[in-house]
Amino acid sequence: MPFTFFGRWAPLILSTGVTYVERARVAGSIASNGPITGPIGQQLAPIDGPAWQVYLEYSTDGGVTWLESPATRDPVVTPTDGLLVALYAFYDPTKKLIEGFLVHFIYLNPVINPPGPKQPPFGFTLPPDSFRPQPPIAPVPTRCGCKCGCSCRPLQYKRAL
Amino acid sequence: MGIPQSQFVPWTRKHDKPGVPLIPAAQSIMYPQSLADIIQICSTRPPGQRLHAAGSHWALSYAAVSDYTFIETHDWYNVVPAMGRTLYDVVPGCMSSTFLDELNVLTTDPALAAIPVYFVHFEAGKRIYQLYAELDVGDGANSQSLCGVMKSQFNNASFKGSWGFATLGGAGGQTVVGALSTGTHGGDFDRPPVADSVLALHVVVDGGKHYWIESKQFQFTDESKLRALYGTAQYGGPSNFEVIYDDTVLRAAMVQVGRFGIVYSAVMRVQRQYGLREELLLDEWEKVQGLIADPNSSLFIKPFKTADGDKIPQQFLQIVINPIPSTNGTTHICGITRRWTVPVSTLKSSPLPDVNWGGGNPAGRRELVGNIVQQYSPLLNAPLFSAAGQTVGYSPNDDGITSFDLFDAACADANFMDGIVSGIYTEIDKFLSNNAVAIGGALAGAIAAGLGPGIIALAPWLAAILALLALFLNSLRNDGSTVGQALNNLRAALLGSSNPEQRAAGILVWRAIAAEVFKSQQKAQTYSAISYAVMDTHNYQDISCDVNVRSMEVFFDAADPNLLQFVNRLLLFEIDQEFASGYSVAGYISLRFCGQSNATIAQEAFARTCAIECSGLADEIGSSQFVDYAVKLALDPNIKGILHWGQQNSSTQAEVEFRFGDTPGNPTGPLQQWRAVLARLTNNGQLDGFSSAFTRQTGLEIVQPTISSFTITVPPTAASQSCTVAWDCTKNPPETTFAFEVSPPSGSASTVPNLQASGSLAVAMNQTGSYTLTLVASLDRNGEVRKASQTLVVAFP
Repeated sequence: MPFTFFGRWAPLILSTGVTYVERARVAGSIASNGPITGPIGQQLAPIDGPAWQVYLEYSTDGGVTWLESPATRDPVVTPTDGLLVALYAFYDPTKKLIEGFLVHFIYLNPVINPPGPKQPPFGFTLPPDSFRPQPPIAPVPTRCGCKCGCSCRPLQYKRAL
Repeated sequence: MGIPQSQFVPWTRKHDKPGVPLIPAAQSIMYPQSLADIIQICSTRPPGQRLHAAGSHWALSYAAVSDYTFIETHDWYNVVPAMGRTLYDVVPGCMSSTFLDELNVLTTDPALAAIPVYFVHFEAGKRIYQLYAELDVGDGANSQSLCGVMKSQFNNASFKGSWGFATLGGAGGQTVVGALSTGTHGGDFDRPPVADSVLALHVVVDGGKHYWIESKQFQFTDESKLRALYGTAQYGGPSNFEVIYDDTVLRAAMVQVGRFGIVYSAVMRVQRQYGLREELLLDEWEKVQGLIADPNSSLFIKPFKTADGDKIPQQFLQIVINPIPSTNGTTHICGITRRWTVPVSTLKSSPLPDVNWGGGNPAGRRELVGNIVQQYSPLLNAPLFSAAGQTVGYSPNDDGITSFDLFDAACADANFMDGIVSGIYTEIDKFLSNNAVAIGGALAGAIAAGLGPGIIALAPWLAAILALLALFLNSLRNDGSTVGQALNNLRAALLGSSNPEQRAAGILVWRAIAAEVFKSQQKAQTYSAISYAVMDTHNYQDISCDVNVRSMEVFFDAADPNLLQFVNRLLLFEIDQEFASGYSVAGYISLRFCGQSNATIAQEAFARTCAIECSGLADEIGSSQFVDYAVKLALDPNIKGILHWGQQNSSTQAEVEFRFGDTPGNPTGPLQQWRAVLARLTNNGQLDGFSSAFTRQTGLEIVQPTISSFTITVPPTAASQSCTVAWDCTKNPPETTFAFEVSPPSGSASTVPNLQASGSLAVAMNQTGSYTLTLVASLDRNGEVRKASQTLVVAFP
């Protein structure tokens, strides 16, 4: 089953698989139909179109014939790329391992997926030894301040939504 | 007496900014008092003066906004009496004897072990809290009621006592009909939303014709009795009334956003009153999000074990996320609320005195419904209760004492922030003295453990922030700001600097404060109370939090991975806007789960639906940006969320068709079914009085024109050298255009454009052979043109 994308996305191939000859093929785009090719780990030229499809396929005869790979679509949000969609083939749920083709598509719509800050946000960190236990807290007196049995209770808070 | 009305007065919604009405001078507002009034309004509507029903004014969308005349079923200002009667002329007056017999058997034959149900018929202006109060009292004392009839006819007393809604949204201030017309829901994942409890609707359409629309599968009325009741002269006579027993029509009418017409009344199925146990625990979104897709995860299947050892299954789940992050931007606190049904008999008693109507004293009853103050209030057309719609949300302590709690206090004014900000001030002061933070403190919550100096580098800026906080506290104690205004002042002070380090220090402190505010609202708590006291959490004394609100809600299949990434992308947006622009949201993201609705265009379109509500106080800069972004993200076709009809909703016709079907290329699906019912009730859109800017924007309109007839009235002869054709296309929206094409046996075709919807035309013929005559009806909706055509082939001798 093909996966449909809407708009402009940039592919990034992370793995071409280990068992078979595999590929990702685009159809229905404005100008990028055909197999996605390019170096692994490098963001490739964007693919655009109102609605276009990606097929993950594998071949057992060296690329003469192509079969549809068992594939998964997994949208992800990362601090650097924002919204991206991972497509991968031959996922082994027992090993929790992707054994086939893995490609990320980074969404290039600046309204929906605006680029984050050019520099990483300030890191709010402290060395572990700077986190210290709270000092002991003295018992809180009842609100009315009486020392004997008292009907006053601390206020209860609640969810309010 | 004429129908009360006003002209050129402001019309606003509950959540709009006070003093800034949405419509400064509404052309006309009418306040019908009866079915006859509504029929009169709809039958005497001047051309061009469209109508739309408005109920409680709680909708945040433009769904209730009329092009011209607003028809108020419950006056926003509580001056004109509401159409809020509970009716007995259909339930039980028009119930069939067969149905009553079956109902009697079902409740008296133990072998059937039927779940007790009851039926209530009410006018469209009745608010939810009014109805749950009346249901709680029960109507056994009224001999005209179904309970009274079952007692007198069958000596069956099973229907005495209290009844309740099977589910509700989070508030009771809406009219029941308004809530169900827009698909309002709660968080009960084991059942559909409230609209699915509807068994019949009485709808008046443009032109004044009125329809009783009832389930065929669950028919309970006798048609002849309905005709005798509503087919009378005061309602326009027998020909002005139609009874429709059809589940397809009812499903379409359940959620119709006011487009079909005005709902005069509704019949709902209710259930025996029950109690609810609620548990709220704090957690982290990043830890729980992976459990949402699995209906068997611990989020959904935590049982409650009673004192007797019985295990009660969980029925409700809500996850409320603080959009402002913790732990160096890597985590988000969330409150997880679960609920279980418990018998009323197991509830603690309220510490308040018993109610004066003899209903006993389970927790929450006195607090949320209270005494009957007036048996009949002329303003409500119903009993007046002392507490219904009057109180803060129920929030009991261990002894059942409910109080004006922290958040309720927050909504009275912004001074609740004093303690929180003062606490943070002290924490910063201590940090500056020893470069350490206290585990469990607010500051520590905003920080992650890591190598390097980290926030120690921000020390000079944190020292400057101490002065800002002192100034803020001084100001807070001396002005009457709303929560939103106070938060915006604080945000501006902390995040407003253009210096990156100072802004970073401000963000750190802002996050620490936000976490404390959130925890104050979502504090761990467990309690049990009568159903409505747990479900209706609205603070009716709120004068600060629930005004000038921006809110959207989007619906997903709970197993759809887009759901999680919608939330995560929104959370990243908040982080980015804090650093990039110094803006931040004052609000929340809430996930609630519910079952699939039968209503044709309900947003609850999936067996396990997740509704994500994103809300913020518009007084704070960053909230509107946050909510607007959420709407755009939801509407993106790659995310494909379904927006709530009653909240911020900028869906276009194409976006609605993408989700509900009936696209030009594939005219099938739920929207096609819904439009077919609209066509049936409005002469295929000819009656367009309930069309509005919102329904036209979203495509809740007739899109497909029709041709009723196209015939040759005078055939051609050699002598006349012409023929005459006639057509009737009146059953179409007024925007429909018509053209006539003539293709002679040879030569080019000619077109006659801009024809009337009905008429006749003489076609000249001077060639021997077959002429092709085609009538084309075209309708352009938002640039989407659909056509209907019929062709006649005429042989010229």
